[in-house]
Amino acid sequence: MKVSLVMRTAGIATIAALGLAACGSSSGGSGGGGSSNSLSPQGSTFQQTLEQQWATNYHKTNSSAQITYTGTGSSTGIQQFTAGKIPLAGSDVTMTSKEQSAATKACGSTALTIPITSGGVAIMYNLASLSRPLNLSAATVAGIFAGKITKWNDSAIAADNPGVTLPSTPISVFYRSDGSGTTDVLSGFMTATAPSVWTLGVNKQFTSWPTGQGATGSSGVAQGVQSTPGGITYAEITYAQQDKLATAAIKGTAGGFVNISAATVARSINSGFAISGTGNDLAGSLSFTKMTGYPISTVSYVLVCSKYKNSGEGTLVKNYLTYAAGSGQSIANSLGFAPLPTALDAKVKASVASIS
Amino acid sequence: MSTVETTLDTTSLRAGRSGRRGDVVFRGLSLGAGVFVFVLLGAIAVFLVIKAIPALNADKSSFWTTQNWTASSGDAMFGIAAILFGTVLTSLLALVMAVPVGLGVSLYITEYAPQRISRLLGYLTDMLAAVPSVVYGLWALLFLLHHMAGISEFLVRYFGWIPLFSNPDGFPLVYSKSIFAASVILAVMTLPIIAAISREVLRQVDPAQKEAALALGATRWEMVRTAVLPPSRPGIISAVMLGLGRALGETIAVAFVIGNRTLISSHILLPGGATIASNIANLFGEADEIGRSALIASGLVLFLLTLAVNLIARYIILRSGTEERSAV
Amino acid sequence: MSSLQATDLRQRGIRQASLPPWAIAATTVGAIFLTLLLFAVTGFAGQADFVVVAAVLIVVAIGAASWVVEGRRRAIDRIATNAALGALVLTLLPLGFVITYVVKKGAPAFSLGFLTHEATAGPLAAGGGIAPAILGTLEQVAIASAFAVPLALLVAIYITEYGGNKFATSVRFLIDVMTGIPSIVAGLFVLAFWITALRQPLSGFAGAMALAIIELPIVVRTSEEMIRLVPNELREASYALGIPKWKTVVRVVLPVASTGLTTGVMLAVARAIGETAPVLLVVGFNNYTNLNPFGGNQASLPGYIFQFARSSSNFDVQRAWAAALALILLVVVLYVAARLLTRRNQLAGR
Repeated sequence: MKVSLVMRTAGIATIAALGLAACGSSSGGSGGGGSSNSLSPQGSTFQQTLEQQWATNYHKTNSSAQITYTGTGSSTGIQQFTAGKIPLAGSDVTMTSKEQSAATKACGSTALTIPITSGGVAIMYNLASLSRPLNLSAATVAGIFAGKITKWNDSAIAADNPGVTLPSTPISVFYRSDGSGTTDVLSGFMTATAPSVWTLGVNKQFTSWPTGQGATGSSGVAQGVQSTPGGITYAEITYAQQDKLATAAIKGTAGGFVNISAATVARSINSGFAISGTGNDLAGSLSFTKMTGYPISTVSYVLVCSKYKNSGEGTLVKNYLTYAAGSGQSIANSLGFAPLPTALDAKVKASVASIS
Repeated sequence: MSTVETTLDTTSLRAGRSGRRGDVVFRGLSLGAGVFVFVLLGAIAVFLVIKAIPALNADKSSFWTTQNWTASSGDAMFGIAAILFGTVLTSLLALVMAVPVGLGVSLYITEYAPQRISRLLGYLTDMLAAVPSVVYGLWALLFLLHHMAGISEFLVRYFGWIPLFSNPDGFPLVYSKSIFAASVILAVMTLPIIAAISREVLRQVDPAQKEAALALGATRWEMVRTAVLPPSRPGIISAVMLGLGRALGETIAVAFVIGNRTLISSHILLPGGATIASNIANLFGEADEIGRSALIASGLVLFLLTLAVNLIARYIILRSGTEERSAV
Repeated sequence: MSSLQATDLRQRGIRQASLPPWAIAATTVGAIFLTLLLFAVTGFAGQADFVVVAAVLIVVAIGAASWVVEGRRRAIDRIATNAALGALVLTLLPLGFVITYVVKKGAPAFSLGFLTHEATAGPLAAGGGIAPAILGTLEQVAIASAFAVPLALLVAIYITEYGGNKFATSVRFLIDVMTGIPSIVAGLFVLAFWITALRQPLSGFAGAMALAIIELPIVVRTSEEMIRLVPNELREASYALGIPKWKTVVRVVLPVASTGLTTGVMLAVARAIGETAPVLLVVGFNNYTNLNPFGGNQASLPGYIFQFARSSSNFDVQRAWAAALALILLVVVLYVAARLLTRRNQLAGR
């Protein structure tokens, strides 16, 4: 009696579950978008504000197109893209060869990595009453973030800033506790320019940072610095503007002390970014030691298929990216990003034009 | 209790052959629901184990004793020690703060407050549960952290001799993302759960018992202690366990206010600390396959922790000799 | 009850000495004076500290005075009463702070237009709205509750009314363990099972399943407690009238427990409606309205808040707070509606 009951209810449950699954699969399967004029790219949080603005502007001229970018993290973006869940992803890093082949398999055609914007990682701090903004050399930056320089009047900081009276306030480092492209860029910069001081290598996240406290998101670290006299952190320049924090001029290997701006970032990308991909694949690598402009600069990519199975989807991706790589570049500056250097932009446009 | 007087339309309710069949169907339905939950949880557990295995195999250090958390396919050196410590400590501290207050407020509402405002006060405390965790997180980050400096300084100054509250290096506590900050926000978040459930439980205490206690000359507190609390104990423990569940598993709010450092430190006022859930929230977005698998392994540990905690709670309930309740 | 209390007090007033109101007032003033003294002489400082110290001293002083005049039992009673009142204050304090803060931050961008427009403004301009997020959240939570609540009630009924065997005990134990599953793990499970293994797209339905996993143990656990508390005499009376067990449960046990059941469901819904991590993971986000729960990304209020609050655009941050205000209001509306509904049911049962 008992057994038969269990069997019967289990049977009902199975049938119900199967019915649901069938119902789900019949209406789903369009690859992440409801209809061919809606697109839900995700990935890099670094690009998020710019992508949101592009999507907004694109919708104004193409009112049927509904594009929403979600900043879920580059790795998540890559995973969703290589699994064929989304037709377009944003990423601060290039794909590994394993991911590349998975993406190509999901696309049914070669997957392309295309630089879409560039930007600098600003070093922002909270020190009242300085006679002028701070200068920090690469070794000093690494010393501060590695916890080897602990007071603002340390001799290394003083040496970078002759004539500036520095307070004896302790330095409170705020770092990104969530995985982040900015952490990747900063640790890459420090590893390239001051390997003897910063010894933890390059990573998107460090759970046991040598000093300071972790905060979630760029807004979190900027908030922390704003609330803590003597605080210092790294984030996109717009967060310094939002929380009215000063940013330091940074000296890398190839230049003097340079302030962060669209022009100085573009100069660094021109001198420090080399394309390593072939054909329309524009994946590349950064060498921080060659950057002549603001030396903590990076490019951010989009991942696309060269030929989409669904041609409507392909057309939408192509048109959207044509806008982004074209007139979309002009709004980059107002959101704290730097437009791509002209030479690179021409290649990006050609690559986008090849999408079908 | 007005419900006792519920008049039943007995003719329509009386059992016929249809009633017996209804019984069988209803029993089957509820048993089916039980089976479904069993299968669902089994599936979740199996899923956690399967997904956790690759990382556990790749881990080059001891999973149970390592504090550091570096987990990617290139470099897998991670352990649960620090985040497990942080999870247990924050949840424990949260309960230390939330249980007396939650119990106190539900006692006030059910036993002390004038009848007219008692219902309103109940609704108000429930409103604490209406605030979503992401809002709690933002509020704690932008408001609470600044206003905790005073309390932290106070604790350091007068209770600094207790290792928990000491600040050996004189770190400025103006804005300290710490285990203590996380515990406070968790206390605020578990409070409505504990208050709401224990309130409902206390409300169900037989009024005759209470009146009997008062008639015997007991003060109101003696009445509460002798007639209200003992029959409510299992329900209150349930409330606490649900609150604990929330504290253990809370993700976003804790990630916002804790120092996110995988290092064991007894200085709860100083920046630092991390919990299993906050670690998952922080690292998931940028984790690769091994990284995700490692985070799922930590989720599995949380699962086991909840299991252990509930076993202990069950033991406490059994030992307090109130199991006759389950003979219903 | 209140008349009983009055007679109780009057009798005691006759039997023994009691603190008159003026004595309580005097003790209070004395305690505040002592606090002032403490703050003047020792290292105590700060307004908030003053209030806390004064409150503690007042409770202690009244307790001590009562101990001397009225005896130990009455003193403990007074301290207990004051402690319960203190707990109430400690509960309402954070509520007041949170609500005031959210209202203050959210009011500037909050308007009717904000509730009815799509999120089409972009980070460089004010405007836009959260209509897609409100609809998405309501849909996801409704689907989640449609699965979780009936299932949870049945499970609770099974455990309480048909329980007593090993299987029921283990189901109950599993439910206990389930309360500790972090929401993000529920999201991961749905991601692995529904989206990766069954090859479904991100969708509102996937989010609803994750939310159902979060709601289920809360509803089971609270309903179980509430059903247990229904006096056995009611069941026995019902059986004595020849009413079958299932009708006893549905028509007698559940209505009696309805207030408590509503509390449990509301706790679960409030918890689910504010969950961010699983929703972003398996639903994604959408600036535009998408009502099809199976068709691609959907917006949600917590997703909206999480994304926009972390933006570097102050317009976005303002919108995030306005959305937080909207989310709290939404929960309040649902809460009040549920309370009114159960009250009506109770009345109908009478």
